Amino acid sequence: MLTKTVLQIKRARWRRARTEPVSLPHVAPPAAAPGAAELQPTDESLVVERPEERSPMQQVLMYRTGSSTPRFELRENPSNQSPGSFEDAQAGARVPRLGTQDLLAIARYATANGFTVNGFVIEDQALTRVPEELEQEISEELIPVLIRDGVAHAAAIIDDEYGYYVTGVKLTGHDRRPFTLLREGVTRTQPETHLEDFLQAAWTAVHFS
Amino acid sequence: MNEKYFNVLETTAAIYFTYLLLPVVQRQFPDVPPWVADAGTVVFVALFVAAASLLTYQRPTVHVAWKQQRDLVPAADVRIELRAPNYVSPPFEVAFSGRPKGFLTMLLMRYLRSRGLRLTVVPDGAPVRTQMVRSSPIDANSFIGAVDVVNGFSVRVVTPARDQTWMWAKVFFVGSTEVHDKFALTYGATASTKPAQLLSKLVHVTSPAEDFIIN
Repeated sequence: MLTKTVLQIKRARWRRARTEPVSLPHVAPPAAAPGAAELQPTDESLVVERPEERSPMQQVLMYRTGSSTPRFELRENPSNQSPGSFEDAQAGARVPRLGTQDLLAIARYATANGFTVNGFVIEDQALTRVPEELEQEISEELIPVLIRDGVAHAAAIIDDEYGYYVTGVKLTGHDRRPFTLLREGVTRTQPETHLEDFLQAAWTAVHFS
Repeated sequence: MNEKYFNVLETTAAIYFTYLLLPVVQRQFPDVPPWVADAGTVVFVALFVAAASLLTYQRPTVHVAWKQQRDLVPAADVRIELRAPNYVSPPFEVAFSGRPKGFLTMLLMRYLRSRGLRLTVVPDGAPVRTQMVRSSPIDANSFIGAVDVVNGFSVRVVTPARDQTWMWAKVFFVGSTEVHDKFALTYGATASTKPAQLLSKLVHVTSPAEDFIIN
């Protein structure tokens, strides 16, 4: 109860800070044709800048034909390009559209298969990451709920009680290597982690988008 | 009107058409045994009446309503703003409802559900990608919603239709740049096998929100 009240106060402060006017000049980027959109750099929310996550970015690609199990592939993305720029409809390559419910389902699958969930990446409705301390506290609340009551219950808490999105999951694999999987399949991982195999097995169990 | 009256009308029409057609069939195919001609005529008429009613008043119809948080009435269109730096829209609650109709509709929907019927929503050609926050749960750990059609999403139909909100999904849209334009929101249905996919086209998915406007 006390933890929840403290969280609510922190959340209110955070929201107040977000709504206060900012004196930075607004410079709108030049309008581009829809086709050019995919060549733009990714939105800022996908540039996760936390100390534990400064390794180069990669992009997960999902190849699927018909109703078969998809094949996953990892592409290096050092220049932080938009996930959409990796999609190739003709080759059947698309990025996984991992939303809150998908990421929570992957986290639950991971815990059931010997992985450790270190926390979640949590963003507000403008896709701005919440402060690290709040993120950690919400993660600590969500993880036991996820394991005990399931994905639907955890998704209801983050959506109804906080009004935030889960946009990433921080995991540690069997090999003790930590990795982060973000919405739209953006990730930071070492090749030895074999994220593709993990995602393939997770997809078979939870059928994420 | 009550679907029961339509079912009675259907049966009456089927009996009447069979009565009209039987002598014609027997005259046209004198060498065919009478029981084959009778059975063939009955099956043909039944299929014809079924097809006609499924294409008209018994056509399964699903209604889609879009709302933003705290809205009391559904939106007439889906209107978003994409602004730097994140080009993200507010979340929308998408509710699906459908009225249970006659016996044929229920039979069709039952078959389609067993073949993985999905209702699709696509902002056609819009430079955005849909993100799904939550959707109706199937059980504690799985959901009906998936972002698996072009730049839109789909919901899997697992239960019979209900008048009130039958299925729901909470989604938002993400773009990569600032665009101001109007696009069409297209609604449809699909299923996992070819015959079911063909029959799923009989499912009429409709919504007052047909425009996807990026301000």
